[in-house]
Amino acid sequence: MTGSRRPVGGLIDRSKMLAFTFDGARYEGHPGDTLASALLANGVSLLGRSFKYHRPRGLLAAGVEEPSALVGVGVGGRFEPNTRATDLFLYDGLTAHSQNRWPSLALDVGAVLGAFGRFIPAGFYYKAFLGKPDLWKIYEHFIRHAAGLGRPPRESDPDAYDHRAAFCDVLVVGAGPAGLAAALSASSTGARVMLVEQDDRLGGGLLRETARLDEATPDRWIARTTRTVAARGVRILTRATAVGYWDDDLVTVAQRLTEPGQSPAGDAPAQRLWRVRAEQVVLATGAIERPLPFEHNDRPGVMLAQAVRGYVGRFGVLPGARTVIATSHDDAYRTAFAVADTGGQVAAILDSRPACDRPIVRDAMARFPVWFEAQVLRAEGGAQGLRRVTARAGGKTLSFDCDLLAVSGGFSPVAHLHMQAGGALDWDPISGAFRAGQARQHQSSTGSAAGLDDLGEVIRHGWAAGANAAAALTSGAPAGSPPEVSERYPGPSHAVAALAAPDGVDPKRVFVDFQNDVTLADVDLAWREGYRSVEHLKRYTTLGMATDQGKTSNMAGLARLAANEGRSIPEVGLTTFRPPYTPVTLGVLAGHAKGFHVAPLRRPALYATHAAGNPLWQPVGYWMRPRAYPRAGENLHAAALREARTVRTALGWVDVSTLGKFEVAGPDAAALLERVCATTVAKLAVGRGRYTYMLREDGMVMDDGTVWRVGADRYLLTSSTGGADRMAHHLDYVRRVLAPQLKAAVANVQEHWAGVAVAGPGARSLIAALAPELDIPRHMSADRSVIGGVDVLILAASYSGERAFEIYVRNPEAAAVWALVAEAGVGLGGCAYGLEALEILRIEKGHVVVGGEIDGRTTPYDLGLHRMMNPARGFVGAAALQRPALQAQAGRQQLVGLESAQPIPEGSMLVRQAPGAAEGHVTAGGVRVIGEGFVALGLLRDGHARLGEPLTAWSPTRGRSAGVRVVQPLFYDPQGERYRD
Amino acid sequence: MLRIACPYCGRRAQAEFVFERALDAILPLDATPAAAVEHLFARDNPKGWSWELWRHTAGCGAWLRLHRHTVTHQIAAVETLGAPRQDAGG
Amino acid sequence: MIRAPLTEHKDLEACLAEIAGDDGAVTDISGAAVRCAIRGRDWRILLTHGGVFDAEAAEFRPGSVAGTVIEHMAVRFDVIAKDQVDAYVAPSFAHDLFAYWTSVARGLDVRG
Repeated sequence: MTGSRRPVGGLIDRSKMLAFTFDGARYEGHPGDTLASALLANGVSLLGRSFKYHRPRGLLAAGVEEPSALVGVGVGGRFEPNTRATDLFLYDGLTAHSQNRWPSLALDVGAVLGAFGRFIPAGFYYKAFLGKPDLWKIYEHFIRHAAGLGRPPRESDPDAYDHRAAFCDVLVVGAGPAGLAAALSASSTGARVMLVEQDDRLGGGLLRETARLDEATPDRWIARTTRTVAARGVRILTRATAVGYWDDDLVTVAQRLTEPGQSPAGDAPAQRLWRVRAEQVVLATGAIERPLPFEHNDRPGVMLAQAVRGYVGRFGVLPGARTVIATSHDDAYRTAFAVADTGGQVAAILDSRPACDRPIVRDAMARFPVWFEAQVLRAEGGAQGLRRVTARAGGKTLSFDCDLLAVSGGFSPVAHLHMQAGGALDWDPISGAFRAGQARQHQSSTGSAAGLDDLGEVIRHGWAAGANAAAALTSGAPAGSPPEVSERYPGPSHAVAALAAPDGVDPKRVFVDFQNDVTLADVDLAWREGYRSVEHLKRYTTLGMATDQGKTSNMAGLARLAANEGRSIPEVGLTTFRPPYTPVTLGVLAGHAKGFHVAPLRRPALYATHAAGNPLWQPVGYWMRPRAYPRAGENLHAAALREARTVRTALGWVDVSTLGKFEVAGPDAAALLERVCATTVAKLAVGRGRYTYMLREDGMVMDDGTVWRVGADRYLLTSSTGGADRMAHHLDYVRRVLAPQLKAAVANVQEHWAGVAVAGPGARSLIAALAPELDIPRHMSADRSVIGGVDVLILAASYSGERAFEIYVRNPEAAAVWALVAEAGVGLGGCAYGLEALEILRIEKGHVVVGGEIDGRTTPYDLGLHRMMNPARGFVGAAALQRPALQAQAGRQQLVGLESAQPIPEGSMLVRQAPGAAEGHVTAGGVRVIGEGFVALGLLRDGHARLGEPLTAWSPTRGRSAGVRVVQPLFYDPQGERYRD
Repeated sequence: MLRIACPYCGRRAQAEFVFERALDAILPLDATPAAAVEHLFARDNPKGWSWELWRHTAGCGAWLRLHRHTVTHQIAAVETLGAPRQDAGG
Repeated sequence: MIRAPLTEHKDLEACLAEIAGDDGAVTDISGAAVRCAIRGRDWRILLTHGGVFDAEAAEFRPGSVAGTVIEHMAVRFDVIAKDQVDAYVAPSFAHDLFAYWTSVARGLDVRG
């Protein structure tokens, strides 16, 4: 095949040149070219090597269905492998490489595999490599290298990607003749219409035809129609593929704002994913041409007939000098005319049907040799191109010298989105094609997607489809009428199914799935081995599983299976079409959610203040909280220990703003709280608070916190940071679903109140200095005051084990109050502390924490909290807690303390002797803040009865262990002396 | 992503809602221990029409009753909790 | 939605509490929301990014209020006038949401 650019013709911009490289060689093309058309114009015909056998491959098609010409395009993080050269529009500086070949496309060592073809048919790996398992280490290296087509980029993708929602009355997918007609009629009613087209211009099949619409040439009519619908407010997207049809008429559209490998301008995103919710969807998605089955049907130089016409008409490129056309319908005759009219030779037309007498056939017979009941048997050629075609016609075997074979076995309507939307398929036995049948959602198919092949009929049907879609929504009738079509050869194409291979061909040489190198012999092999359902055929042979999802191969495989089975194709059925319709780059699916933004970051009010102190950060759910504030030369542990010691000996302050906080108000506020919390609440006097915990419905401890009576009928509930959203939901559920009769309201004040906890022997002095008028609340009392002119709520609670106060201040005023605390605190010898120090301090006090000891499997009995339980038992979880399994104390994992002279690894198993069966685990490993030695909390089977027992904390994965002794889970100030003034 | 017709907000995307539980999985506060175990661990999970409790969490926050088909995801009714219950066809 | 200046906040709170009596409670949550004022002709386009809500619907007009989600963050829109909308979001998300809208606006092309 030697392609050439014609001196005139095509929709390319011949006044401009674009430079590009392919496999290191420099070429030029024009705006409007695809990489495929530009390479063809430059006489390049070898574009790739097939997946398994490394056979030389060129172009089969002109559109997204291209199975063989896959290239890697772009550089660095923008590199996109497995890109179809036919679906890549030329831009200046485009850099592309062929794939799956070494050292070069022309001289590929992998081609040697072709000689071993008979040893590596479909499924060979299920039967090979049996024997010594150790040899897998050798096999695997080579298999990994041979597997796959393109290589992924190693650098991060530098581009931004965008997500957008859109809503419309009518979504028209495809802007070919049917789609444009549908958009015209639908938009004329005033409906909200959206039109999406995967190509870089509107027109679809019209771009390669010479018909007239309302007397205008196709490109004039397309331009006029575009202006008309745009003026009506139709949202038109090009380079936008509808890739998935989901629930309730949600269609995802992947829009390329740049071509693969191209740098976006400025801050623009590279691609955009639209989530379009439509009332009605008109699928004008076209039809894909089918190749023919014959020996070596995958050779460079064998192309689809309509694609050849497309290269001539749209790109001004003639893919070969001497063409043979093999067809089973009338449309391919148009390709013969197009080739001849641009100066190419047509050596023969091989029509598989019996002789017929129609104008298009008669005119062709007057110009070219035409054979009927003719079938191609074999193509001969190789990496250099096509040389000869052998066919059988009229009982004789004929040979034709040619460099281009334009084949067409009819068309498969693109029913992918229709099927994704749950639609059924109808079978047309004459043309041997499935098309959209019964719809499940609000979709309808039109044009060639509905099996039509006469341009006039397509236009009228598209118009009606758009009108019907809009009629369901608006009261306006469509204005105007479909354009009048006049063409040289109107009428249907009289297609006849041509899926069966001719008699006598060698099935090992007839390719069905080009991309996965699946032959007819593989389909037969699967059937012989018992894989007779279409689902098994697909998985055993990998037919239809490549990146082209079987667009040009599914039907041929089905036909062979049906023939082997002696059943009809619709009886055999089709595998399910799944999104995406064409490959989608991962970045556009991620959108904004990449890198740091995988999840949104929640910043506490004091974020900037903390950042100024250069802390080590700790993600807690979506929040970022300071873990420690290391000083020069300190690592995390040293910093945390210093901070904890400062708290115990002087004072420290920590940001507790992220805690869950709820104000519960009303005459039944306490009653509501006693249904959520497992402790009593109603007994609290105004101005007093207590520790509390909440159960899940199955009796397990879910969260813990504190509750304060801040008014006669008003309480403040605090709970963990990580469980705050869950607690908000839970409170609302109890309030409005379980106990709607209660006169109580819950307000989520988590972000209304920021909080600073001040703890240590010096804490009282600090509060006194900041709020001189205040009668300092004793431990577990609350009061309101003013600090620096700002209203605050002061709760005398302690998590650290020292005398402590939580200062709650309105979010916007948090930084000011923190600054006052820090200034006064430094003067008292204190410092800020973070989560790591907080952890060390709470371990010494045996305070349980959500995610550690509260892990969803522990009950109040297990954690030693049962004495605080409300005897009234009206709370969530009370009923399930009565289960015998939870009441029986024996055998349960119970909270214990552990002490050792060595560091106790967190998460390690508790065993009698290493190695041994785990009887529990270490939930939190810490250190004695004052003094020597290490402490930890853990859960141990029957722990409450095993005080004093020696065990080993064992972590074989980290190679660590420590001898520990089981003790009470309380290592510091057991009498609570530190809380007294 | 389903489209759910909130009685207060109109048709909205499923992303704004949270599925809570099937209506018959609501465990009353005064349930007996045996009933609690039944509800939590021994529930049927039939295919077909199901009355469910959802919340329009990222919208108006309302608690809603949905009549949904667990296979086809058709939603036949969306009601507020207080509304009289309609029974849609299967 | 009732809009009032911050100086009248306490009076408003007291007034509402009196009206509510035993049948309701009033709680100050003014610190729990940040208001982002979006002004300009293309605000509807901006609000479709990263979201699932039909901000371009004609019915969504001055006086309309809608709660929805944008990039996993709960937001509330209050359409003030033809070219003006206020968005309310939790303070913890405000920084990221503002940065997101800024980057979207920078990257918007005329075709969008």
